[in-house]
Amino acid sequence: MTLNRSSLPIEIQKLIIAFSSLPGIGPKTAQRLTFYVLSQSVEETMKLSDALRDVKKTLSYCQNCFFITSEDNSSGCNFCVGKESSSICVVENIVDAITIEMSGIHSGSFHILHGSISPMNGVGPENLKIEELMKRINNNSTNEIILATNPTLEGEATSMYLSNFIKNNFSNIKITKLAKGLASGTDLEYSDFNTLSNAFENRTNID
Amino acid sequence: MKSKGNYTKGLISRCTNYKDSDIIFTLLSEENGVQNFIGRGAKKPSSRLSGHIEPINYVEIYYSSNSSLAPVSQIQPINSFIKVKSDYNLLIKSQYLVELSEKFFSDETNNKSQLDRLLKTIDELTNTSHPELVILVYEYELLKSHGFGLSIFDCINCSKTLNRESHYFSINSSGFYCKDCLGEANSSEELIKFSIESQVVFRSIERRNYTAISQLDLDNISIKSLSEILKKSISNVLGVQLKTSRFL
Repeated sequence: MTLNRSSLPIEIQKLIIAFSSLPGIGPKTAQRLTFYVLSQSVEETMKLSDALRDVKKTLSYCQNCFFITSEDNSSGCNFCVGKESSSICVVENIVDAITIEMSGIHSGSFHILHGSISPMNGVGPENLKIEELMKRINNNSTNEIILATNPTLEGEATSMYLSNFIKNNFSNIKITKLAKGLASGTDLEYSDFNTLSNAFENRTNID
Repeated sequence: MKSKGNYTKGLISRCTNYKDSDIIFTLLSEENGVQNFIGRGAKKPSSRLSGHIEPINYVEIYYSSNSSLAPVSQIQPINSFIKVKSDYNLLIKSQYLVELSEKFFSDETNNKSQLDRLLKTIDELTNTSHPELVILVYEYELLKSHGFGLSIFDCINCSKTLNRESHYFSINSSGFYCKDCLGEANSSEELIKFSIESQVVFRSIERRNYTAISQLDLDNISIKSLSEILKKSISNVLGVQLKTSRFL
């Protein structure tokens, strides 16, 4: 008798499909993970199951900065309450906000867009938290918007769209963008044209 | 035995992050159609591949294996289209052109002429006051070169030469109906009325008489409606709607 996946118990098939839906997990890895879960004790498996359930049931996005929060507060979460609202750093995702926050460079607040404009993937400005950013600028005494999107094609497109949009709607707001150029430890010889062009454009005086 | 290195030139059409620091990307190559590659460690700032692997970069690629996802050993930029990438509207337009070309690129065959036309068109976007027209010409030529050219001089039903007057264009049949044959059109066919001026634009593109197009009052001719017709024809040919088309 040949054993194929459809002859496995339905519960196992369902778990393989569920694991396969995760990014970077193919059917083979999903199958391996399923059998690993099966080999674990009930307590261990319940821990994983509870963690998965809790993350969806108790956590949501803050309606102000769109960071993750377990509180149900429309005026803000632990991450944004108490921060200067005069300067908002706009980032693509939560990990970017955590990285900047951990560096201690930015003392103002954050706004998480939850993605970047990517026409090739069908993601447009309406799929991001741009409207919410505009409302936030309108309601607060914001002086500066720092665009901290990734220096990728999608990140740049998002940054260009946002700067045009903010300029057209709020003439008195300063819009800044993170500097671009050569990274520490790189060789000039292997730099791409974009990086070199940015490095030349943003060159500084040596006093 | 160590395999001999391979080399190709092409335009990067899309990139996907893979694992911690790898990038999987699709290349519209000169010789082998749509090819997928992996840039190992390309997301690390110190990587020699860093920054080169980005959509709408025309590059030279060196790779060692012939697998479906060959790792790139070296990458050399030829044109990064910096001007296009620094303008949001042009960037969106060029992404549309790339997605469109990707759908029409044939696998395992020489695509040099199509790639050259695409590169030239992206470049032209920055040197024109009517980028929509540049896209229109590209779409028209692309359909024609793949055997889906529009029938613009003769009636698609009776083959009679069309008079210089308004005619109805059929998306399904990719051509015009003359006045006499309009009644023969199927009720399910999508018909669009075309003014003489709009037909002149298509006829001039067909004759490659671009000077004639530049002499037309393009602001008064709805390029948008012409472009809509071509986009509908493209969707009809491909059977899918391009993701980037709604952003134009």
